[in-house]
Amino acid sequence: MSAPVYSDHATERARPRLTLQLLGIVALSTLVLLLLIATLGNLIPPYLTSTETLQPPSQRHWLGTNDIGQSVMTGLLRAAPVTIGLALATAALALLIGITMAGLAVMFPKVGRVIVLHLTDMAEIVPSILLLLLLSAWHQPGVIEIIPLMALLTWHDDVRILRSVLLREMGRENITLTRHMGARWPYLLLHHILPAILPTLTGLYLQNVVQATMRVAGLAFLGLTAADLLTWGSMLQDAMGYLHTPAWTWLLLPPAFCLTGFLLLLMALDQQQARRSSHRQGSAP
Amino acid sequence: MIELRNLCLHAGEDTILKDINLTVRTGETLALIGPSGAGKSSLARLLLRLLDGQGACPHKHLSPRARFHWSGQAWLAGSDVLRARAAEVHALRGRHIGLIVQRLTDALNPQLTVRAHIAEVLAQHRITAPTPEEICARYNLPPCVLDQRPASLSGGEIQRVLTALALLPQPSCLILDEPTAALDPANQALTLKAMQHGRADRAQILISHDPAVAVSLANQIAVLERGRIIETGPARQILRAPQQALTQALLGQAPRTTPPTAPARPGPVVLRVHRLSHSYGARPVLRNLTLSLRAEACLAVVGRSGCGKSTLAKLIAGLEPLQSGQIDWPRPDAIAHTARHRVGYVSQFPHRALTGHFSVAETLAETQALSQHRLRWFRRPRHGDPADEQAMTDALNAVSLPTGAAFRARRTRDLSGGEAQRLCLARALMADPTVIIADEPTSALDGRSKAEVVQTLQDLKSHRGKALLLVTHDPWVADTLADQQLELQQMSLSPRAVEMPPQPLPSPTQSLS
Amino acid sequence: MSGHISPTARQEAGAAAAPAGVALTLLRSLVHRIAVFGFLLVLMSVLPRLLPGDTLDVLMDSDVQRELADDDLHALRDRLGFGGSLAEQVGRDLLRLLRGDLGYSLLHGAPVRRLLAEALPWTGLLIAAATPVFLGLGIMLGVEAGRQPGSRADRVLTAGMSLLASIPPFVTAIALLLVFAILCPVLPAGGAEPLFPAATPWLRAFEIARHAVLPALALALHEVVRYFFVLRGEAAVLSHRAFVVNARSRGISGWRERRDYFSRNLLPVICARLGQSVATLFTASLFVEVIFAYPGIGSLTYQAVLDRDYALLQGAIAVLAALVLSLNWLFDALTETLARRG
Repeated sequence: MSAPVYSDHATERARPRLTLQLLGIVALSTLVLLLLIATLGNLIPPYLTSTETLQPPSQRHWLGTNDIGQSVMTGLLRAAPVTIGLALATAALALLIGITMAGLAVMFPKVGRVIVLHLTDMAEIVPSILLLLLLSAWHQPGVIEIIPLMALLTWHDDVRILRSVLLREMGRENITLTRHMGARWPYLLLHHILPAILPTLTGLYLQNVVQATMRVAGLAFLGLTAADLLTWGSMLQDAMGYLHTPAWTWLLLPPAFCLTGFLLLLMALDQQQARRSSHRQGSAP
Repeated sequence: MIELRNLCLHAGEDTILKDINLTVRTGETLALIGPSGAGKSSLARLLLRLLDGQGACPHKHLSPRARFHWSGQAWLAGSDVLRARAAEVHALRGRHIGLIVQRLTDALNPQLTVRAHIAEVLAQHRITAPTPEEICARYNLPPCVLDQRPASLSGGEIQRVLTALALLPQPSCLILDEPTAALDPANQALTLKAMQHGRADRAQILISHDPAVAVSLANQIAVLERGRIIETGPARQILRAPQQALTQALLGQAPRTTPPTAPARPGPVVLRVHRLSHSYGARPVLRNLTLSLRAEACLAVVGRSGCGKSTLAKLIAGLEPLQSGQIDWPRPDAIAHTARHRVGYVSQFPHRALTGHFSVAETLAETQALSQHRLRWFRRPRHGDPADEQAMTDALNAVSLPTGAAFRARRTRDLSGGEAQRLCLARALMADPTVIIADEPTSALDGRSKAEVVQTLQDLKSHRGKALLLVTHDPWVADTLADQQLELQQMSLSPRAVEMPPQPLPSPTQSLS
Repeated sequence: MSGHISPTARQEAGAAAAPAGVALTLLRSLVHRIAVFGFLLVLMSVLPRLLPGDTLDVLMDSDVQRELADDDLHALRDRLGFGGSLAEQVGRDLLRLLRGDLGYSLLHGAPVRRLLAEALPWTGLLIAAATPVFLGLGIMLGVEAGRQPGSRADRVLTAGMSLLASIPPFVTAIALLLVFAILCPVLPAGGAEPLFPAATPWLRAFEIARHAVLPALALALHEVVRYFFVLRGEAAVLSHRAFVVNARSRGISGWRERRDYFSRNLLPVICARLGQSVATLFTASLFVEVIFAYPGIGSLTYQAVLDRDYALLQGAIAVLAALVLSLNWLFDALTETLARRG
């Protein structure tokens, strides 16, 4: 790649901080969401059944009610932290597994690499839907089971990329020279390598979140998650029975829009992040 | 007829070409010469409008402002290509304006045979006349290549196929972008011969950095430097009496730089290498090398690429484990140093040797902390006490970089190649090394940065008393800096005369016109 | 950077294995697939037996015959393969499956093999109908956007596809169902055929095609997005390669450029992508079949999960896994051979 020098130094300097900020935002939003689940449980009105079934939107129920008289609005609010939290946690766990695997492959170039690459190859070809069907026929997963289950089905996407990025960064001349001058691996990892691969990590995380959101929603839509787990996907599943009545407008559309909006937001973030890091790479050959 | 008027080309905010004015009449050839990076290839692509919608670095998402944009006029084959609409451009390309390019790898569609390539051009421009076999005969191609895919063609054959494809529609303007750069002399001759075909009926621009080719084909020469034309005129006149220094340099008539004055008193020996041998696996690279290095002196090791020069540098720097032989450091202060800080090592690609997200200050502070053994793994070194600050300022001064806070806060990835290489030198100085080893320190740099870095190295040697071991394949750098030159050839060193015979003028024997 | 480099990273990883030779690579991936297949078989044989009840209990619960003697019950258990230790049962299961005996679905009252044989053609029809659509659209739009990265066509197409990509595929399918079958019912909402199939073969074929339009379209839309992004990226890389630039300088443009220069050189990528598509297509067809009540293998498997019909589930998963794994191995082999050609 040619090496044009961008003259816009002020913004250039701000960029690495932005990546850090982005990661900070992600971490912070996870925290806030967890807090929300804990505290807002009391603030959002309880998701109670009532006799007012299948009511269209009104002053009393802004988004109407479902077949057992629960307010759709309340449902959406209560499902939001669960849906988003599940996706964020699953993605984080998948990334963690991916990093561990890639790290093992890089650290033990003989045995570790072979084992990890074989494992990745196999994880790639597992038809995940079959595995999910099989497992949910045995036991319908709740929050605790979904996170590791989905993470185990997504980590393989990250390993190859992480490994090649790690290898590239660790083999760079700056690392060789600094190590030669006496720096040790913990220092190099923390200050030289981690900031350099941070954009990749952020990108992978965002893509993992998209994947996880789609998959969890799909599983819930099939009704294969635990019956008491309220997500936007399971709300869609509930709406399926009312496609032939006017009730679909308030049962189906709100969760569908929420899901799409969330995914759109993630993809926009991902693209912005990719553009930013590709722009930044321009000046370093 | 090609006529360029006030043509300017920008990529984002960078100016690539500035106020180009050229006229080439039908039957004439203008050679555009200039150092690499002068904007020659960009001009070729611009004249065919191949830069539309692109930026200086491909594969990237670009804001519209970062893309190429241009102004001025370029009249080729009767239309102003800079203002032509997409449909007009399509009609002009190939039919009226041809291009023959330098890169031969990947130059043809790997999925199509030569015959398919020819058929495609014939169909696109609705030409019926010559059969593929006739075309082969005309352009010196063996007929058996017709049904081969590009993967099995030789470089010369690919170049002649490209020539044939470009000349088939008989364009009235032809742009040749380093057409023979990648060919051996025999193939060059064949290709040049093929390019003669129908030359009288078209205007040609030949882009080259090889004066021999330029001389053999062109009757006019224009010299391009950093996007501007600095000299233009008939070929004979420019060859006989080039006005500009750059033109002289390009034509191989560069005035000799004054040979470095030998130091008044040779410094003490600081490094002795004794019977050094090295091999990679079963392949020997170095055999029984012996050399010594004095303070305030520069020893240059020259040789062809791949001869083991870099290995030697790395061995002495301690970056490669020593297999057999001895490296001694006779000076007592050198022994006092820990082994890894006796040598400051500077390599070919400064941006690879620096950590992009580190600031200038962090880069220097890190080395200082390392040399004083006070680097903590959890803290990125930033600011030190006033003494540290002073050392940093000294190092930056020594390599003539700015010492202000603004510069210190710059990320190394934003530095230019020359600045980054000098920062590498400053970093090496932070550990106060006895010897500086520079492995091709200028080969990845453009002209001006190169001069800056060479000047810096000269200063370090004569003012700071450093011993300098220079590894290079660039005779100019070696001649300018070195007090002694050794040539690495067939795994052993032999002295190389500092005084070189002046480089011969390009021989006109390759002229085929 | 980021995940967008994945095709290149994949190529790098592949390049490491290149000297080993095609045969060795293929053999290795075959071994991987057999291992995965074995894992799935064992898992699906073990899991149901970890549950407190078994199929027999389910059957007993739902049936009136509760007054079976212990001896009879034991005999029935043995006959149905529920006797002995866990390892014995699993071993017997695997042996039976390897012999090609898929078992008997008590709930459907039919051999699993017959049920699958009835359902598979419908899924095959959907996939066969969807493939040309998503391949054609994906290649056309991807090349159109990627041949001039950053152009207006690219920006419009990429924006549109990003929007489509952010809608979960099953939501797209529901939207199609709502719009074309319920709000303006021009196409049938479910099933593969009318309740009473037409008598003449032509009319019947027409009815089947009408029923397949919406599900196949939903399936195709789901895949178009994936192909678009992959092919756009690859085409953008191609658009900077020397031979494409040279061809443009020779005046090659339009259809010829798109076909001979882009599409032909994208073949290995398309092929590699097809290999991965086999699994995602079956996944997508499951959703589509459930939404459109289409009697394919997806909805059959889904029903088996809901009914806890383990015999059917085991048979379906064994067949599907074998199908998916062998198909994507075939595509892998094809990609490998194509890649050799350059």
